[in-house]
Amino acid sequence: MALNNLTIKIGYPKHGYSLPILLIIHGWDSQTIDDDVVDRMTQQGLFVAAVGMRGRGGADGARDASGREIYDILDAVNYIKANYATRISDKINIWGISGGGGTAMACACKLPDTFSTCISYFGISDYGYNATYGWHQENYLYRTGIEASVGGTPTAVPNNYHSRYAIEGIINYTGGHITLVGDTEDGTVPHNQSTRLKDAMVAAGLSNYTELYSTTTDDVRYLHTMSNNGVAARQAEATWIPLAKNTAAWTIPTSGTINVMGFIATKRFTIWLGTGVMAAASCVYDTVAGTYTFNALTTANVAVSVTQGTKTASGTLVPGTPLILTVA
Amino acid sequence: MSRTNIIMGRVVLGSAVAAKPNGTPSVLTATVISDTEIDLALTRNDTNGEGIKVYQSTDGVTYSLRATVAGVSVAAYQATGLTAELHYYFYVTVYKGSKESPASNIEDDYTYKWYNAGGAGANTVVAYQAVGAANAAASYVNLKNPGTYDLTPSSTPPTWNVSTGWKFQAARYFNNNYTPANFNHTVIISLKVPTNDYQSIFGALNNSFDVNCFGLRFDFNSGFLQATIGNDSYGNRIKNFKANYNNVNVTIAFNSNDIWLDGTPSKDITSIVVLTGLPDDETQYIGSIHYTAGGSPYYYGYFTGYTYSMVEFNKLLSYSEIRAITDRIKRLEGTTLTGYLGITTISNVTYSTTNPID
Repeated sequence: MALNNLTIKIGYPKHGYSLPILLIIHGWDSQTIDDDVVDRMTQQGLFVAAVGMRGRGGADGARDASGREIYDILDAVNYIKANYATRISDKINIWGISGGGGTAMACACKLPDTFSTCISYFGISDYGYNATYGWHQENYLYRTGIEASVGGTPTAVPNNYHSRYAIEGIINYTGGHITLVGDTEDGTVPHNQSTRLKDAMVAAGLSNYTELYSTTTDDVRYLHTMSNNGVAARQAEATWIPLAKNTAAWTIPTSGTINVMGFIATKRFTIWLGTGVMAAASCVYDTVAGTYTFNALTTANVAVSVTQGTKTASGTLVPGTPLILTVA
Repeated sequence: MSRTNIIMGRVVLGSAVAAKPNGTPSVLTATVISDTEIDLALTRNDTNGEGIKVYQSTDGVTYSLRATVAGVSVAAYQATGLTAELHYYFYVTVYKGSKESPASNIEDDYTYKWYNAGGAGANTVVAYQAVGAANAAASYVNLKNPGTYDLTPSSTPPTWNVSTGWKFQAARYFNNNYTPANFNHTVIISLKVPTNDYQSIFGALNNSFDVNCFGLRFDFNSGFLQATIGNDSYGNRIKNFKANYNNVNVTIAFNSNDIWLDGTPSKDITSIVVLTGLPDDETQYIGSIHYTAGGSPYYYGYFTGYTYSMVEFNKLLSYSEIRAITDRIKRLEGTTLTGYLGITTISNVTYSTTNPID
């Protein structure tokens, strides 16, 4: 049953057409993005869409910590394409702050070739999968909210946390560019949430990232509380806005290896593992042959469905046993 | 063949006789977009019209056809290229062939003044246009807010030139008789300055650089522009920025949080401390600072540059408003603001999820 009443605050310069899209995602507990931020970004020559997430700002549903709410972002993109065709170009970018930074990271994993660039300020890449560095483990103030969003504690539902583990899913973002902004002293979302994601990209041989981080000796600090329109914000924007305006749209390769963190929707295919919030799997795919070979990363059996154009395939993935599906 | 032609002819003739719009447009509304644009919207009320005709007047008496817009459902029109600060009247008819419906209601409004651009005009508390004024006296009174200017009796007024505005050389200044009630103010001021000089001071800084006031000092020195509100030796409330501006004509906008140069947020701000608390009961002076001990303005610096225009608002303007007003100031001076993309359109929409699980 569809969730309704999800909101988008749309902004564009009155005389602007064929503009790169910038989605702006609010924080964990936030409801929306202020008009002034939208205003300022449109004057950079961007079509701005401040997406309100499910369960917030009067929208149906409930926050699920980068679970199916990430698919809502794709719905928002499709809404924009259908209703503002003359205003937009094919360059789509996503910028999120704090909880929204986590959304941007998750989008790079689950909707990789939707986005030319992803920009994360203090994003959450691990809600509690890592027993030491998970956000649940490192910031007790948010534990209740995390558990409500993910479905329980990391001990009780480890697969749920694994399905949201962007550090494993970031290998899917082989095109585009991701910018990670933060401060080493951030106590709300520790900086390791960004650096571990970057380290995973390096380990995967990916170099399509930029790190912007500050520390105690810097004059300008990327603090979690920094102003939306202050010197730190503008300094960061001077780096990523040109990238957002100029990085080309891309499409995932016809074949390769990905990690499916709950689900993945690309321009070539869509894969769902169960309900999209309780399993992860690696996948070697070949869209020419139509073959998809899965190996479970989580510990429970899960239904798998693949859609490639008009072709589909489905099966059950059992941990320890590869599942080979061919779409037809 | 001939019979068919006769029938066709009768059909066409019959249509021509009945070819009047079968409804009269109503609920015409006018929205002022800028100093040069008013957008119209209406309800058509017809099912057979071919389009609308827009009539325009500047006195409400004599109207002329402004535009004919074809379209069976067209119900909006953007009147662009208008003159700033002028009263416009509009009405609309629906046409079908050469026939027109009765006129809609008449809608009228004024295009914005230059300092109203972007819609912030209601919050204007001080506005002067030195450039382009008829004479020196007019430069103090040529805009609205009558009575907000007042040359201090014991002082000498700034010199004035139609193309360069005011020069606050030596102890020249005037009192605009305005006292801010809080820090939620925005000032936009356009300056022309030579290299390496203290160029201008605006505001209500007293002789000890009391920080509890809303005012600004500009220095153009050693290849950069520096602006200060207050002094960090007295209360640690200071806003400094440096930018690569020197010997230029620059429009500066500032409020309690940020500074814009020529409509662009400055990336060169070296430190910002947001002002808090209430300002002193100090009247603002333009071209000088306020010397509270003696109760008269206090001269500071050598002002060899020019002040073209300035406007102050009793609110924090949005970025779009600042851009729009800066754009208008540039046009007053015969130049344009590059890169300005126009007023931002913001709307809220809703959508639904399509994933197969929810």
